[in-house]
Amino acid sequence: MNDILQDEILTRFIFSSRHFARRNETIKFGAFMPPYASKDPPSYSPDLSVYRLSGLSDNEKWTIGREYVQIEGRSIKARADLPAREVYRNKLKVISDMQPHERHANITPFPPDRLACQRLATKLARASKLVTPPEEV
Amino acid sequence: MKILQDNFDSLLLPADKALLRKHIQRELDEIREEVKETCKVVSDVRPVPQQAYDETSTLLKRISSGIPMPDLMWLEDGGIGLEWRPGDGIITMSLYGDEHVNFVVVLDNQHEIAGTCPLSDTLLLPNFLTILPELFQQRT
Repeated sequence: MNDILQDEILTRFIFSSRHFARRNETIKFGAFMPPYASKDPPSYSPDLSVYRLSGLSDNEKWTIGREYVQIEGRSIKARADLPAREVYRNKLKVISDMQPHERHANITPFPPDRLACQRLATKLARASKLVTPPEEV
Repeated sequence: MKILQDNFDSLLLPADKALLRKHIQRELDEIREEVKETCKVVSDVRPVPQQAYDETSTLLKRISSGIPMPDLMWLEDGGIGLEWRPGDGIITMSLYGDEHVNFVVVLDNQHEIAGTCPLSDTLLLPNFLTILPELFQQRT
């Protein structure tokens, strides 16, 4: 059973300034392309990592990003806030996995082929809202 | 083999073409540097092959001056992404150095197209590039 409500906001943390644009306040589709799961044979991970941060203060959201997502040498530049309904609209699910944090979840299953992934990433990016940190996180 | 012809819009002045070339090169150089730095600290990001940079550069030179330059980005799976936002629509392209381009157009929740075609395609790709300015005129 899917216990994540349509109105819940899912957050994807963004590490590259090329994956969003302050100019028009948009998220780029690159922020939603899943990583490769294996190089040989090439296949995509079916899971895209997000956090369920509805109900938390802005400060608490950035703190989770800093403590559980960010790694040394790769800092968070922004986040994409996406209503769960857009995930369901594209026939994807959101599955809580509670690791590495109880609010972690995965959007799944991304299809194995590249164009299908780009199509989904494009639609999720279009439906997302850009949030930038009030100061460096 | 040169896949695409360098086909800058014929309306551009030589000085504008030179500026555009420089801009494209600078953008791709910045992306190359960011990918290199990211690959040092993250294991699941794939390096972007040189062929993908070359194909992106050549494709950008084929795009009409009647539309804005797209936002350029690297993709974690080893590609270069291009994105435009005409009004509330979105147009994306990706290149991976395999002599193909993937494109997605989403104009609203009902109208979308997506496809892959060879960069050497003489029908679909030129037609797609031709309708891009029309999409901007309709959406902005």
